[in-house]
Amino acid sequence: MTGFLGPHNVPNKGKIPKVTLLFRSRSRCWHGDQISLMVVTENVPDGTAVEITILPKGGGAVIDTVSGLSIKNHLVAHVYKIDWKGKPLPKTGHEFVFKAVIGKLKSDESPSFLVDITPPLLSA
Amino acid sequence: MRHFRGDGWQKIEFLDRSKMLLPGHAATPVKFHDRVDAANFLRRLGAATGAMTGLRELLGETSDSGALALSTDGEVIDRLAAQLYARALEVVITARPKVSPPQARQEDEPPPKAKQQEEKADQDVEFVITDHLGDALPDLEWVLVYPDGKTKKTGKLGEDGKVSQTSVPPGSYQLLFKIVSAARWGDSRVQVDKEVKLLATAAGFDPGAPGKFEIFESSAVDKKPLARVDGKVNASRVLEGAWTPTKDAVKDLTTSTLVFQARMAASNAVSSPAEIVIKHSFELEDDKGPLADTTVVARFSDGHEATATSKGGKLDILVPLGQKLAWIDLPDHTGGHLTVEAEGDEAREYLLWESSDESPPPADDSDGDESDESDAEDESDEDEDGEADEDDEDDGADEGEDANA
Repeated sequence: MTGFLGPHNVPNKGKIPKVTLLFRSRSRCWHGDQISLMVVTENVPDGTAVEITILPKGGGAVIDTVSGLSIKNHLVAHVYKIDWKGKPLPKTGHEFVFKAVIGKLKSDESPSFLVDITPPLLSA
Repeated sequence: MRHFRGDGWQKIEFLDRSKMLLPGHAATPVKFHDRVDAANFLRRLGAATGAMTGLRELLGETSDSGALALSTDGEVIDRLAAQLYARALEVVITARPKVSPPQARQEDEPPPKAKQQEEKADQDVEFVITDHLGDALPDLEWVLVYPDGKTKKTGKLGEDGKVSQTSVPPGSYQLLFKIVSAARWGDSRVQVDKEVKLLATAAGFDPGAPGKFEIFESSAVDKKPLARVDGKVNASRVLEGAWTPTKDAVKDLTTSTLVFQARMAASNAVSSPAEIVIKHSFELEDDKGPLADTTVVARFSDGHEATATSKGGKLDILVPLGQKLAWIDLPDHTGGHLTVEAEGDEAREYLLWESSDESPPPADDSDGDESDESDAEDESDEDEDGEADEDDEDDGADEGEDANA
């Protein structure tokens, strides 16, 4: 966005995008671990409500939702504990992502992180 | 009668002799000394764009010949010259009436100053700015640049998102905002010990305005930045800074990607992650000295593989930070033995196996048990999580050895 050009006597409309980027502190976790889920924004005022949902990569049932967060100094960093007992976990796949809704703005998927949710196979 | 445009402000009319005799026609026809004189006149006239077409049509009007299309330009001129010399056709040249250029002021128009004031009173300019979802962006500072490029007005966006001015000169207006955007790295990768530019668009700020950059590991944007860099808006209205990541500054990284945030006033912009790499230098030699230029394949602990050609026995490979050499191959030297001497590590010897072999031959491994392979995997995981211990360096060397085995 470098600016808007427009002639006189005409209503000139312009849009400035709100931007959001998602980051996570780890790329691999175990059940019971903590992971920091971070939302960085541009042109989003402080105090804007943020809701984070965690779901399997590629889609599927939402595993968990975190609400009650808000933007402060262009950032939300939420330390999330992976405690998924009783959550609707996928039957296959260990790769997960999170998404954020910031006001009306919906983010893309975050980079994925692996969670070992399958019981380990031990040799006899 | 046909009209042609002559030199300057002249009108050239061709008239039938019969019309010249009409009462009231006071024009004096041009007299030609001979047929050649008339032909020269026509040639000069015919040189103008499209004029020959007009002369052909003139000949068609004054001739009963139906084969004009087949006549050359010279033949057309000859035949018209004959008519002019014979006075069957006359040509009259008169001065064109002067017409004032369009921009000239008419006598009944108001003087320029008054006109400008009138235009100013009639015009307004309006921008309506929202986010891409149609919502207002209150409190954003704007700068409205007038068509002259010099006059500027400033303000803050309200809830209606409108920027408007009345009684303004006509023309194209530019609306800029005092925000930074489009933060980007100057290079596609960040290299240890090499300066990288940090850039962000800052169209609404004047050249020289200060800004700040904060560089983070992409897994720790909520933590203390790795570095803070001062920036300045350049003549192209881009906030610009430079950072040279030292080995010391990045020694504790747990991932190999970085981001930065550009900050000016209350605004910020965040870059996309960039991979940080470090240069691994190799010296290749055999018992006769530096090895002739050859292809080298190096694979690192995260699976990253680099293929390059050595020059004069030397080779530089850029490797994502934190990765360790897992194995190295010289496809042009299969069947030979390779000794790897790394700084601060024991020399290791490998056999370069044929790529067609189903399995690589055993390496010169002191312990060679299977458990090392799982150790290597665990070590990789720990790197990712930032829990690597002090033994990592040694483990990494073992990992490389075991990957060969």
